[in-house]
Amino acid sequence: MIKMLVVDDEQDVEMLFSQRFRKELKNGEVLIHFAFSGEDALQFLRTLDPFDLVLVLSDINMPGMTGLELLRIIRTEFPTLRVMMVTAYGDQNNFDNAVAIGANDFVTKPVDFSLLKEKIYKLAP
Amino acid sequence: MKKIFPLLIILFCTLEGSAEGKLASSLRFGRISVDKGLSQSTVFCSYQDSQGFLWFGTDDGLNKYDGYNFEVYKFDPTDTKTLSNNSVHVIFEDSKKNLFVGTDLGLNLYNPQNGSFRRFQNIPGDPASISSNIISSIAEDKDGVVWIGTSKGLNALNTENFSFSVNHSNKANVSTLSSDVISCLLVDKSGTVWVGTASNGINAFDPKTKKCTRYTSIPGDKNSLSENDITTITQDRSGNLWIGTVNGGVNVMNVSSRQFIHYTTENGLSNNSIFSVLEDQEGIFWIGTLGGGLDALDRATGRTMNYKFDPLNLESISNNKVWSIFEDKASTLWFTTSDGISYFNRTIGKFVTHKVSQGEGGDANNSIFAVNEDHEGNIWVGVLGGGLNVFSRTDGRFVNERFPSLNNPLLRFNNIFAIEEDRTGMLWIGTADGLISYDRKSGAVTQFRHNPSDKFSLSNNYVRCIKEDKSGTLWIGTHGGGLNAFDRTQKKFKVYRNIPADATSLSADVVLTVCEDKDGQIWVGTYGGGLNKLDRTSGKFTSFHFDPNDSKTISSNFIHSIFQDALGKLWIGTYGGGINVFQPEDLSFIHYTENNGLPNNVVNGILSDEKGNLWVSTNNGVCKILPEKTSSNSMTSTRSYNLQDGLQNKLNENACCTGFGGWMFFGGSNGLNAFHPDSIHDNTAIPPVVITRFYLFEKPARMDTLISSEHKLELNYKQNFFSFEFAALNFILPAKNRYYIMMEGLDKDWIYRDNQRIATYTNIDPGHYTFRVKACNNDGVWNNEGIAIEITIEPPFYRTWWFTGLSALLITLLIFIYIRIRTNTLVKQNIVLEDKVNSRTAELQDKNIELTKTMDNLRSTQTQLVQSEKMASLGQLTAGIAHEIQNPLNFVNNFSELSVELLNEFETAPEPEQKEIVGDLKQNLEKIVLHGKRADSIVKGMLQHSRASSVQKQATDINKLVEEFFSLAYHGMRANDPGFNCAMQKQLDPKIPELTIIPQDISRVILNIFNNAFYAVDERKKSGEKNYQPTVSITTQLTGNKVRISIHDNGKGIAKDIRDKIFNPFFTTKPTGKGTGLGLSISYDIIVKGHGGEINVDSVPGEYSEFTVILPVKT
Repeated sequence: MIKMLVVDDEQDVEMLFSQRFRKELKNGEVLIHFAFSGEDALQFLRTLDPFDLVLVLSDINMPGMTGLELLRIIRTEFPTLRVMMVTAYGDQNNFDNAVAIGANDFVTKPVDFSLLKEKIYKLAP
Repeated sequence: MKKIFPLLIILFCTLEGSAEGKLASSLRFGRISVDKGLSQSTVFCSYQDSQGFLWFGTDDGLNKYDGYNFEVYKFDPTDTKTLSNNSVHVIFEDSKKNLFVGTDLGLNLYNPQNGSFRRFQNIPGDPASISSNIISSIAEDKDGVVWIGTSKGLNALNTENFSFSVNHSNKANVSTLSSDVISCLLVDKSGTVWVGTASNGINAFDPKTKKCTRYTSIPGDKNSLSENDITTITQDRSGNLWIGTVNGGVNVMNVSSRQFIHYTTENGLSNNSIFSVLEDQEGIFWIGTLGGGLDALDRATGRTMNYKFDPLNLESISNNKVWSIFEDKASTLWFTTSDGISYFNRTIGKFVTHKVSQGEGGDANNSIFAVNEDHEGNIWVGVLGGGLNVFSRTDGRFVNERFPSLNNPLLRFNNIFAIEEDRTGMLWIGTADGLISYDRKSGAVTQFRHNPSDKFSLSNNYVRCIKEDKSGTLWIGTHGGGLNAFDRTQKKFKVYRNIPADATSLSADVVLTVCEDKDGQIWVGTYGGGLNKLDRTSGKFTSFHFDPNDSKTISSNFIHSIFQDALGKLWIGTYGGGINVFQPEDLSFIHYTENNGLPNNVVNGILSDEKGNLWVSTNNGVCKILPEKTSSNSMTSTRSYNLQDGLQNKLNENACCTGFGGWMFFGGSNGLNAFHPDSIHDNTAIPPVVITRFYLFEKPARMDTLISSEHKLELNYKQNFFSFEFAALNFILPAKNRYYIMMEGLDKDWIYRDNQRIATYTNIDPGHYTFRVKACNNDGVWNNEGIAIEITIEPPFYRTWWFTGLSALLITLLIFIYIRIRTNTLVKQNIVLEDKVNSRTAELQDKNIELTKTMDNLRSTQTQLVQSEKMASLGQLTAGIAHEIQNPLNFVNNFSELSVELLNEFETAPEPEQKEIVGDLKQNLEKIVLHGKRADSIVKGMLQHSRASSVQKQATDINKLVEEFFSLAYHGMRANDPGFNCAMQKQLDPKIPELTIIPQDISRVILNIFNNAFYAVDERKKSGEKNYQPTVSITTQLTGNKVRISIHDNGKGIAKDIRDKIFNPFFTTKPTGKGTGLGLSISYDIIVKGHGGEINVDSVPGEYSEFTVILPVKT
């Protein structure tokens, strides 16, 4: 089972992902936790059982801690954790930053879910 | 857990020695040569003067060194006040601070006041002149007579009148010198002058009676000198003389028996051509040879070592011809060679960071998360992604090739977090993929992994720590699976996990460290759940948590390391909370953090040395703590070491251990640090502080007596632009010296200058001042006394008291005369003026009519400008809107697509599932409507904003309006600058009723203020302030019949003089083109004139701005 943490400030992603991953959730292939801010995400990572993967949907647009800051902290506290970042189309600057900090993979917005699933399976240990 | 094997200890002593013995097999020399400014590379002699400057004599010039620069002195044929010759063989300062320089062509006396020399040369026929110009040696006897060895006899110099008298050899008289060709001199402790000659041995010369006793080589007598060609004489601390010869090695003369012992290549020397011998503070004899490099002899142990030039090692001695050896006041040894200067000090190069692997593509991973030493002294190192590696302390490198079984893929490629050797010699390796046992003799590797169907299997494959207790149980902490107790014989794991409902269970499932204390209790450090103590009989845990309201609780719930010291104190290293010491009496904790001198609050590991000092690794290097000096409110952190000391800064959690003989090993993100605490020495020498240069009007000025010796300086009032260059005379890593300066009379306090060595003063008023400098050496040892220069700046004549008095009198007189004349003139002028006023009044009335017309024109222009301001702010908004609208549209698209899929599923699904699908469909449709409306309202808002102003007021929810534009303004900012970020806080009063306002107008005002607020925090952020968190907050509040809307930002603030102008049209602080300057003036009109409200601003520059709009409830 792949245990995944999805981070975004839009609360409706929870419903969206639950439906998009309907089958996988039912079959027990994935387990998804949702965090609606970078701070919450860190709280989960520190206290819940270890995750296989973190998907940060908001690369820059979270009020408070940004996705990039979250990535930086994850890299120091959880060096082996895989992190996938979502970057806005054409935002080269943030893409480069995420590469430099050490994101493991990327998808662009709007998210193509079949591509996302493929990447998740490839990335999970 | 380390067992002691006596045989191995002996082995280590002989191999290592550096902890116990004083001679290391290799030394790390520093080098200084012509590239640093030295005048020539063949350096014959060195000397430190009473001020602390180092002097070097070369074959081409004399050099004065302050640790930063060389000042070179050379012969100049056109100037008789320069050095008499460039080949310098001896430098000597006598007790009267006369500095003599002996050359191949005369003796020189240095004048420190202006850097010139007085020459002493032989004048044929003058018996009071020096007897020869070839100077080899200088010494001073107890009566202050300076003795000068030349190629033609021994000269006594009377420094009262600078006259010489010579002592010659007379072959026939045995109580005269054995030869006139003198090579070296020494005044021993009893006052005897020892005279070494180039062909006839040595002489003991009595300066009072002028009588000599000769000692020469007698063929066949083993107790006589080995050779008669003498190069150097020195006396050791037990009184024996050490005599160097050109080809006969070293002779040691017993002062009482007057017999000689020979040290030659036959008993340990590397070469028999000796030019220098020195006994250092530690009792080591350093012997410089001409061709064989440097020899060191420890007389206590009889061990010798040879240090040679190695072209591949930049830290080897710079040349094998060593001309002189000299120890300075900071115990640095200076070796002058035929290729520059080499120096050695045991406080240099405290640490070395060993890289795990070089080569193999070069991208070797060096992040070490586990270190442990086995009973054979191998240091096992676990590398993130780089598997298990083995380090040899004796080789000072990784020696994986000695264990071929390390190539087993399970050991080679894993992420390793823990290593433990059990009592049977088996190595246990904790990896991110299970527990591994490794028999390094047979190479057998067994992996233990989690098996969901076996409750006695490992609870989780991510192993973070392993500890064998006294009973032989292995305790295994996992990242997510709690704690395991492993029974090696039964091969069974007993699992302890966190059960949320059970307060006596383990407090969290991520276990980073386990420690067994002296009483056999097991302490468990978790990541997130604090500290736990296991009661081994009941299997129950007592946990210790951080409580922000109780200062006696543990300071963090994230535990990195647990250590029990020799006194039984339990030290706990945390992530972010520093160190905690457990108080068993009341189960409380004492905290030590950055506030107490800890270099960093992330504590990764704690070790103790044999003296009981703690060595604590942090995210900013290692610090040494004396626990006995650590009380409940203070911690004595004697010393922190970091990158500058050769250590790595980021050390990893729990990656440390102590080894045989007290060695310590720390793993970090850049490799391994291995050291012995006793070999870490600080440079404790207090550095003298000197003025090295003085500049007037930015030009080097002569260093007068006033500065260099009497420390006084007198300047006239025109010379008020001057600079001092100063230096702390510390020659060990001088770049790390630091300085404070103060000009008393001008500065109230010391000014920190870091490593800046020049202080410049301009336009100083006449008066008395004291210029002070204090400094510290590379290891932070301060010379608080420093140096003080008294400065007097003489006032010009017109600033003297008598001149001031006279001038005042004169001025009073002039003013009195002026007033008298002026009064008369004014009376006359008044009459003329009255006429003029009448005629001007008529003209003004005409102008007034003209102005009214112009005014009308202006009004229409203003209306146009107002419209253009609206369009400008719209442009900024569009980008924000595009971004904002994308999110709801994404949801609409996604939920629509999903709904179609669900409908397709519905047709084939069994009945119970159909119900579920209908539920989801309904939800989806609701979401589509919701996000559709969200997009709709954004578009509406945009349209409303751009419409020309309408006069229609309507009932409006002010909170909703404010929220909407808060978000729009934020995304507008983001769209312009994706790097922008800001914390946004809202506090909206739900009691506010709907207000009758013109929503487009009010929203324009709000948007404008938000835009300004975001701009202000962004500017402050860009100014690079540390720890600055940009924050904009909005508060709405109903008080009485008024609504307050406050927008607060912690941006750069608005200066008071600007605050009054911001509501003026066209006033802007933004750069040209970034604002029209109309925003706030229009806002003012809208709020005050359009709605009968108020708009105010409050600000503290550099802290915050707050705009408040007050609207009446009934408008």
